[in-house]
Amino acid sequence: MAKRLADSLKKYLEKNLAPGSAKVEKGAVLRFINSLYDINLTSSDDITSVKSGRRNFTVPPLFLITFDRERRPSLDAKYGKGAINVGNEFEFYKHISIGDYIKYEKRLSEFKKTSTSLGEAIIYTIETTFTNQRKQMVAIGRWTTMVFL
Amino acid sequence: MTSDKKLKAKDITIGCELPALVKVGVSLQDLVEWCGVEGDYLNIHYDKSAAEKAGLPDCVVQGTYKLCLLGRMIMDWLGECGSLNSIAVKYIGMDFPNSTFTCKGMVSSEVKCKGSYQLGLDIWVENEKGDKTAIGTAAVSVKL
Repeated sequence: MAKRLADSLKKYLEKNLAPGSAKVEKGAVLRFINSLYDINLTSSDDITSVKSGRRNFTVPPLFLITFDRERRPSLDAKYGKGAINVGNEFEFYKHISIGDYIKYEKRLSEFKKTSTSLGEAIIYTIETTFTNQRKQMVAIGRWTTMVFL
Repeated sequence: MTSDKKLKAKDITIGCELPALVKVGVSLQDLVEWCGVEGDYLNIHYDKSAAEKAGLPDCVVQGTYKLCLLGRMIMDWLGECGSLNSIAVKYIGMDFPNSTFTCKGMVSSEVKCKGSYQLGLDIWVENEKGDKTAIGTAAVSVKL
């Protein structure tokens, strides 16, 4: 199984995976903020923030983590006993605002076999580049996953 | 969504701790809500039987939830004075529903450059026993 997964990953190494794009929607940003702050902001609250002198409704940079997520349990079981997220990294270069269109391009940047207390595993990292509608790179994200074999 | 308390120069010296963010009694509802927010419905985060089938004692708090709470802690501390340039977190332990965990951080490096400060931060999440379940670093820019 390890060889099968390694061979499968090797095919994709350093190649661009399917790109995608999405709009930064106010409702999604509000849900993100409400969840982290245990509050219940509504769509009128940005008016309050403008009145209080803030330049705009602030989009937290880590909101980008919500983009291009489509993981489902069946996908995790495809090759191994299960997978866990072992790390995330982000570098931010530009602010994002409500209404921006963000294009994301992913590539498999590395993978390696490893031994764990739960047995053999493969660790791989997907690097995602986020670009706005002005073709400015806004962030790079790295997502590292461990698959138990 | 940032604190109104303005950051001062004395808060950004090496060794200074960021105000901790305590997440008391994270609930299964919190985890389900986070699944919806990030669009990841892996069932070990909300279905105890699926978690047990995967060899886990209970549903697991999402690593990304801890990452974003660490991000919130930093943004609250910075207020309007700065911005987050990078963040990197490794998940080294699991947290479970009905537990309390605390996000913590400390200034680890400081460089003054053209009227602003470039700071390095050590950040981590601790469970109730004081064990770290996530560790990482962040870089921020601060203008005072």
